[in-house]
Amino acid sequence: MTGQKTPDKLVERAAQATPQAIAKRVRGLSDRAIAWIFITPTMLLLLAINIFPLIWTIQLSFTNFRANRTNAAVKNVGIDNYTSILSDPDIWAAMQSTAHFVFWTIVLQTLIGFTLAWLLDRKFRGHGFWTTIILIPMMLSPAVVGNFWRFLYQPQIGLFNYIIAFFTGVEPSSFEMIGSVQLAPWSIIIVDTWMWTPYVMLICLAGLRSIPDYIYEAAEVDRASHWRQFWSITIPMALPFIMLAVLFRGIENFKMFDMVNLLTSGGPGSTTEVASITLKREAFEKWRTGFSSAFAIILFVTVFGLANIYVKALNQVKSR
Amino acid sequence: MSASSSSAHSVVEPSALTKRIALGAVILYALITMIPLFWIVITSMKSPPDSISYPPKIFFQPSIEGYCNLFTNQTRQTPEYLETLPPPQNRCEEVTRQRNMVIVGPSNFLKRFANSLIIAFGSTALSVLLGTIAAYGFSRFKVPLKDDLLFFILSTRMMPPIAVAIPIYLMYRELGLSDTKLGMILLYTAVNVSLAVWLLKGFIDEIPRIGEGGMDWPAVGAGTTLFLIPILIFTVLLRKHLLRGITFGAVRK
Repeated sequence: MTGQKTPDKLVERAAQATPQAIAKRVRGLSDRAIAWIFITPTMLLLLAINIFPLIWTIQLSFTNFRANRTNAAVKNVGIDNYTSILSDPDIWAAMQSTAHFVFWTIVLQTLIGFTLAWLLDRKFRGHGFWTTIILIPMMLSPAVVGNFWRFLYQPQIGLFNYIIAFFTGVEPSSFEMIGSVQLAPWSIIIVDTWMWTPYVMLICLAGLRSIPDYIYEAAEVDRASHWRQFWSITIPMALPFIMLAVLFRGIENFKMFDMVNLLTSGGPGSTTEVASITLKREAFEKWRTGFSSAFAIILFVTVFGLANIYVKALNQVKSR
Repeated sequence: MSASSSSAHSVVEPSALTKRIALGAVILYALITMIPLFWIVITSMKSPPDSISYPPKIFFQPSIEGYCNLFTNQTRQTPEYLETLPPPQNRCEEVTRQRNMVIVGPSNFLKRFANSLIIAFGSTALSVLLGTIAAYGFSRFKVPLKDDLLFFILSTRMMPPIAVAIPIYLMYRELGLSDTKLGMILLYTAVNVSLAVWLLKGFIDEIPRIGEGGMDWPAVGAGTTLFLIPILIFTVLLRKHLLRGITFGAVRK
């Protein structure tokens, strides 16, 4: 680390050696060749497990192929899959459930997460310890979380119902979180918020810590009130981070599968059937491979498009 | 919250009162958020009747039944048959016999748990290995279209896994990789390697180049290996924080 200051000539010479020099000595391979040897394995893996399947999905989406009947003749059906998806009421219901889920999880997680970050930024004694405690839920596996919240949501014996009953006075067995059409969408929102608020908090905390003290000092000199400082300094300067947290949670929750699948498996009926669960049912229960491939492409394009528009907005906020 | 900060040593240092209120609110949240976890841990130590009692029991007689049931397979037997057996060897057998059951062997749990560990460690090791090599290439050599390639690597992460699930399923069925540990390891590696490249590139950019000039490759190898161990552990434990590492880079740019 202190190479330049060491009087040792060898170390100095070593420090000046360039990768090119090394490359020439290693069996005369050129700089570029070595670089490719280093990069190729990763690229090959990504091409094999990401890009190749994606292209395959696009191709399948124009056929009536069924993965459980590989011997049947595969017919090219053009854009039929796409048109039937866009006119399928079940698909629109799934998109609506997804939108409801994404919207409310983002609102709740951003509000609670930012508030927590702001409180932790008061730098009271022990804030590091409490940050760690708060982070625990997001370290768990979504499958495990889905499973044990099922237990907490049990109408008669579950702790969640008991606590709600304790504070509101209603009968604990009078409502079912995952069994009722009205409450089931909220049951998955509560669990996701419980699990991922810490993540939003972390990103917001990073944003708050990045605001230099001298800005607040200047505001203090100008006698700006704390209220004014909060709205004119804290929020605008932390905004790129908040927006980034929203982006990551939005993308993740649009793809949400494992937690919801274990908690409600889309039920009751299809009230909590978010897009990924519909996709799984179409692809691996009804085996409509072509149809579900088209749906997967539509989802991908939607996420990608929305994310791109959002990133443009984010960049505008950043460059202000 | 806007209490006067005249007594504080810096104008931006929050007042003692603000700090106390913030601490109280944070502790309250932390306690509420820990209730579900606390509950699942104490439920694991309850007997089955206690676990489903109403109202929920906070004080109970601890039982190892939950763990016994998790790790063993059991069958029901008649009390007459149980009489003929030798006395129970351990606590688990004793608990099981009280319910007229006999332990017939270990359950699948340990095997499944081992599967998870193998897949997690295998994919972590492989993504760190591939990621380190690629990051080294990007960090130390001139690569044509470097920024485009790096962005491509990151963009694979934005793709919803469901969009490629069907072809991967078909591909794996053809290659005989479905339902194998190797298949799972490759799949998770493909998901994680993009993060590994981005994060490790940051690390390698900051390592001074001195070590390379001496051409002492075994030492470089040893150094890298030692360097990998904490990252390996780090990646396993803090997989989700890696995203944060990238987030910071993205915002600060």
